Amino acid sequence: MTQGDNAGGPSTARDGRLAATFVELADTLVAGFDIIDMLHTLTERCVELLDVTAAAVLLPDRRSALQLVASSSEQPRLLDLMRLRNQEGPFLDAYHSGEPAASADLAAEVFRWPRLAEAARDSGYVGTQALPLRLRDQPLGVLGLFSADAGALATDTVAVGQSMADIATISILHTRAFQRREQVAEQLHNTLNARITIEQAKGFLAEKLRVPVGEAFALMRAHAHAHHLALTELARGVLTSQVDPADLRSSPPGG
Amino acid sequence: MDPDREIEITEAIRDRARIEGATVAVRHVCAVAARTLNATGVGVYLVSDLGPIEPVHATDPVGSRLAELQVVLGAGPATVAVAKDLPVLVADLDTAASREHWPMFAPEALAEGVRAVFAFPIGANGVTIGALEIYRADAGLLSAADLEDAWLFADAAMALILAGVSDAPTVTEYGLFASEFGERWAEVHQATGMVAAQLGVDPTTAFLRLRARAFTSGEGLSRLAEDILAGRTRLDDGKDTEGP
Repeated sequence: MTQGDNAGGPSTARDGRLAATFVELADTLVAGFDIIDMLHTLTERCVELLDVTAAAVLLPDRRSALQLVASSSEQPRLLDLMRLRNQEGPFLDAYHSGEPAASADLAAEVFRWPRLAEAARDSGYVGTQALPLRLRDQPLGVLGLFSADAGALATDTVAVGQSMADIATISILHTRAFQRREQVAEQLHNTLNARITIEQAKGFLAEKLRVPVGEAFALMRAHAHAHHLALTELARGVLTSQVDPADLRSSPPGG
Repeated sequence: MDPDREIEITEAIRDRARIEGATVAVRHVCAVAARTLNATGVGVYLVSDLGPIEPVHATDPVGSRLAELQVVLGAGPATVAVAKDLPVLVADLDTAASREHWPMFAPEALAEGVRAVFAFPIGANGVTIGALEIYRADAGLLSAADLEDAWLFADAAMALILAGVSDAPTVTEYGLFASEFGERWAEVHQATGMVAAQLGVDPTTAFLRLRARAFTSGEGLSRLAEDILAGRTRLDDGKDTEGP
């Protein structure tokens, strides 16, 4: 590809819109924000600010296959082009290398990406720029920019595009932090409930076996160890009468 | 929110733990919150399967009784804060409106010398894990600065609780919640198990029966639990039978 046109004229107007976009996107990073919605906004702003025809965000699923999660356009022609996302093309390259990948004319890439070149001729999208979403060395996904016209994007436009990709990265990491927090909250809930269950089982056994609470706990622990049971499981079994309290008095198996 | 203030509060909590020679725990958050917000006391609750507010710490006996009261009644500022995921600010319990809004809770809390209660949900992004409750002997709203601080203390409690849980659930969880009040509260659950065995009911029902007895007898839940564990009180003694 050829070096892009750098003489893009005064970019102050774009800088202003860009700053506004960054504020807008940062504002979406609040409690309860929707990541997909946010990424859609991001692709729309890419089209407005970078003078491209379409933009899309691709993220890997559990199997590391890239999936289209947001795009500025739902045009079938764009979706058609994206069907080959996991076979060949700049998106796959950018995702794997962590480096930008581009083609000034996708339709002409008959040697590099023959199937994609053919699809590009039908799609009407020819100028293509793929920008990696990455955290240090870890690839997170790709931001794809498409132009109806052949030609490479200006260097400063690519730089702005990478900033947009970085915003997408931050939002995705932000979402993951949320999910982690929810998991931990669930774990906390389980821990707390386990503690309650064990305390209840102590009292239950103390009553059934006519022993002090401390001794009931010792019996429960001994039984759990001897039978390789989790203490919480045993406690639950005791409370639901699935475990006979008398069994806890008897000596462990083989003992 | 002022990021410097967050650091100040975090440092104050750490200092408090350092003076005690202990690792930072929920009780340190409560103690510093009580001092900073000129509160009589501060309590922390967590959501459990048994109900929205499982008390984990209270800075003082009044707080313990306030916690017991809310568990027995199943109502109160902390309960609402958890259920609605919103702060509940009661500037004066001794008004007609408060008495109407909290018919059971208000008079009992006033009898404990508590005039104002402020409960803040602990959690973020739709996940509510509990509540932080601040109470004062004098009527009056929290100042704007106090309000911001209260949120910071709720956040500090959350960060601490979640960090403790993710590291090593069993050991740190104990350290995190270790307090005299927590130990006594364990007895409530033990008594619940005992009542379940006595009445042949599931623990959830047993806990309801326990709350009902505490409510009708007027003695605190933990006192009742003590009596049950010592065999001085049984719930199958016929005193709980409905009707005349």
